[in-house]
Amino acid sequence: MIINLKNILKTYPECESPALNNINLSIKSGEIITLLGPSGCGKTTLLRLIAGLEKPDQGEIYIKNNQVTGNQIWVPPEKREVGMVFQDFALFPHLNVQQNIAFALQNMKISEEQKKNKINSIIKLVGLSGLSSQNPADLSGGQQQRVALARALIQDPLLVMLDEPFNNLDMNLRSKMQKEITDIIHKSGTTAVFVTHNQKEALSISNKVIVMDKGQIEQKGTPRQIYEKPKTKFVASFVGQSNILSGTIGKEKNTVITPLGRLSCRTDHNKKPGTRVDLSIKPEDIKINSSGSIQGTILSQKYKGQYVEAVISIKTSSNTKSPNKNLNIYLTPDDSYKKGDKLSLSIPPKNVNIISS
Amino acid sequence: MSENTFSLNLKTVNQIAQKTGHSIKNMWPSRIPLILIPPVLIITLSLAVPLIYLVIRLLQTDASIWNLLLRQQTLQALLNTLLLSGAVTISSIIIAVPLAWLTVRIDFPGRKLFSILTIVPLVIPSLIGGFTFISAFGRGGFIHQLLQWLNINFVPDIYGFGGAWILLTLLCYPYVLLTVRSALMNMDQSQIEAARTMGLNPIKTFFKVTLPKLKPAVTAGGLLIALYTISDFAAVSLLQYNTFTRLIYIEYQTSFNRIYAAVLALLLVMMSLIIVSLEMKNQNNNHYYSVGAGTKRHLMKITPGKWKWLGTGFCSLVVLFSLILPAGTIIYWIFRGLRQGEELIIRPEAAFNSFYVSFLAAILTVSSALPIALVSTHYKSKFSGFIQNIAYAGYALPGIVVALSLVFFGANYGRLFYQTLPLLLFAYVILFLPQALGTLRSSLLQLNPHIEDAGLIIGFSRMQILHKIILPLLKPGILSGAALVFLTSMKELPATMLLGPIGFRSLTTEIWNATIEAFYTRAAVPALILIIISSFSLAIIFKRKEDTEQKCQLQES
Repeated sequence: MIINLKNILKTYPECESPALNNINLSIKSGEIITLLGPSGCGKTTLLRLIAGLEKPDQGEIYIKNNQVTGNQIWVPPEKREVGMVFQDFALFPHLNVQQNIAFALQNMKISEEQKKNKINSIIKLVGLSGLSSQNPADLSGGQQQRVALARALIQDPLLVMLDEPFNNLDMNLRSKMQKEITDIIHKSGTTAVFVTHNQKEALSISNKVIVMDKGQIEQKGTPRQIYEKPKTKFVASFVGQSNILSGTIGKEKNTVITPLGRLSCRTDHNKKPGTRVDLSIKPEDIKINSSGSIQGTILSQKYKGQYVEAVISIKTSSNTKSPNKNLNIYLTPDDSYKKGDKLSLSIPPKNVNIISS
Repeated sequence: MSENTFSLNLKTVNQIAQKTGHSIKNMWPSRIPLILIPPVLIITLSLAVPLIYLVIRLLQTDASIWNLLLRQQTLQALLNTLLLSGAVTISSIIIAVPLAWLTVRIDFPGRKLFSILTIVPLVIPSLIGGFTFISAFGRGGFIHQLLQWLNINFVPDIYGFGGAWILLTLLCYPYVLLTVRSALMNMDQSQIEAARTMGLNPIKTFFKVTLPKLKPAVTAGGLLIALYTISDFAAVSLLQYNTFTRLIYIEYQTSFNRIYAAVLALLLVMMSLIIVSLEMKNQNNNHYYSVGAGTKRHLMKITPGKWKWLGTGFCSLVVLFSLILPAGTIIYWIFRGLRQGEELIIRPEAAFNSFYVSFLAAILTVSSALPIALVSTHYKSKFSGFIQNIAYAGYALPGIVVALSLVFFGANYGRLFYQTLPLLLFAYVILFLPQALGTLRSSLLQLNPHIEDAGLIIGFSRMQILHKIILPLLKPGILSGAALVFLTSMKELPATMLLGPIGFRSLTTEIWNATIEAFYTRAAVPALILIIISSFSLAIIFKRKEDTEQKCQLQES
């Protein structure tokens, strides 16, 4: 384990609810992790605690099995061997590119020759050759970011942390830099933690995603697990869109009784028959199927480019209180449905995901 | 004192001008209304005339200017002035930069209290500083008395360079403290954090990241102090150190031919013009911007552990000498005066004169500044820029120089006015116009230009807009400008001494005379009044700065 966090609690002065509440987390060497969550969920605070830029109220932090925080122990940021790329890049405006990168080497006990080699190879790695005597202010956003990354990587840190690194870049540059930065990190072999509130970004750049909300960890898993098998209502609605339904597990494990009627569902849950549960269904998983068991009427449609988002009103089974239930589904733009058209829908059982009670 | 509050003003105005840049460009590009031109021209010319006259007189003189310039005395005064301003600036920086860093970044006991108390010495005008310094440490001062009581026969030698240096440092360091504190608080915190994650401890981070970024703020504060020191009259004169200002005064008093005083005055103006222009250049250059934009975070204060009392000790020492000692001295002399039944503890006539003259000065100055402020904010042209520069040149004019040039002018052309109230008021207008202009301009620049556009669309004429929209909105600016001039005039000494009618007494002349004659109890009450007055004027300046910053933040968001 590179990083181990135990029972971390942090409340900012003048804030009622804690910024981080009972966080337990471990990060393995070589992992590329994303902390994903809405702004204010505590993800940046978590980074800052690991870096030693804040102190938690309670809990312990270990870096490579050495305790750095907790029980009267405090290791200052400069001794933690973690690199950080700040949201605003935090380049030093009074130093040029090379000096910015070399800044991190001044406390290292290696020869000038070695320093020079290190700087040259990192400049090459991040693709900044020829720009080393430029001032940061004269660089483009993408170039500034590469300087910030080079500066964080040059000390060979145990872990590099990137706080919303793509936030300050425009849309086109953003996806280009996502690929470049992750490539560089892969090449360097460093363990990395990204912080982002952008779920698409989180799914595409990392091999492990940690979803946070209101200071707590909601779910950890691979991007696929997080997207396809959300474990909480929050994860289901924050990562992609989801239709959330309430229901009851049927007599068999693979059925669930919902306002839409009896649905077949995934079986990788451990709920007993009769348990009240919530379930999530992604809009793209609901298929138009003339032999489908769910009947509905198109209430409204919104053109979204690659697809059309439609709201379908479903007549619910008679034993529920509300007579209608709305479902979001995606139609292909070629479908020429109109408002009021009647549709038959079906949902493959593997896409009916039981989340919790 | 006054020159420096001016400069603080100038800074605020420039800040707004930069931040609201887009709105100024949107302002009326049209020609200046004819009705505004005559008053603006008359006011600006009359501001410049005395100084121009001084130059002309010098050029016409029989004596060789070079002989006067190269006199041993001139060179000595130049050396003294440079030495003192350099020494005061450096020692103030040495005190103020650590103070700023301590009070902003370090979590030591009493931090919040000390971050206020260390700024408070700003309210002590140099005249009062001089009075308290002498009446504390000088012969017959209360420290001297204390020592005698303890049977120690020792009088510290406070006169000359040493005393002036210490006193002015104690009075001036808050200027650097202010600029550096605000730079530290607005500094991009992630750069400091980045340095920490790159392996630098707090001390190294301070020297490698923080300090280079503080350079513009230290320079700005340092130049303010240099300007304060070279234009200071009261402190150096009371402590008998021959800088230009004191020499000018002595020449004026003792010599029949005042040409030499004029030469010295012009040299002094040149020095202060150099400092003011350096200051403007520094303001234009200080773009130590951060690269990229990010959210400002709360920066963790450094907990110094067992060293924490060092911070408390250092701050206490500074506050003891710069604040508690002067305040204590004044209170000591007031009590002593009351106990001994001293009569003359205050002369009502002096207080009345100060209030009355300052009141008139406030009205006159603000009404003169108003047309200039309008022209310079609303009509972008070479003419308006020129007018504005002339008005701001007042920042570079030490009180003694304005006084002397008006003495010349009055003695030769305005015999009727010489040593009358109007000439004194005229001096106040020249000296304090930049201050009023600063207040008015910042109020004007904060007006949303669209309000005026709206007036035009409704069908108002320009004069109607001025009368019905701008002036009512400008009322707070006018009032605070007037208050500022009123309060600053109350503290003025050299012009009041040189230009006041014969037998004219004001609070400042009372303190001056009493200090020179060592009647310390007589100076104490006027000194207390002036300190209170001075606190009000600083409160106005800080309030306006705060308002401006809020406004700028609003516009940015």
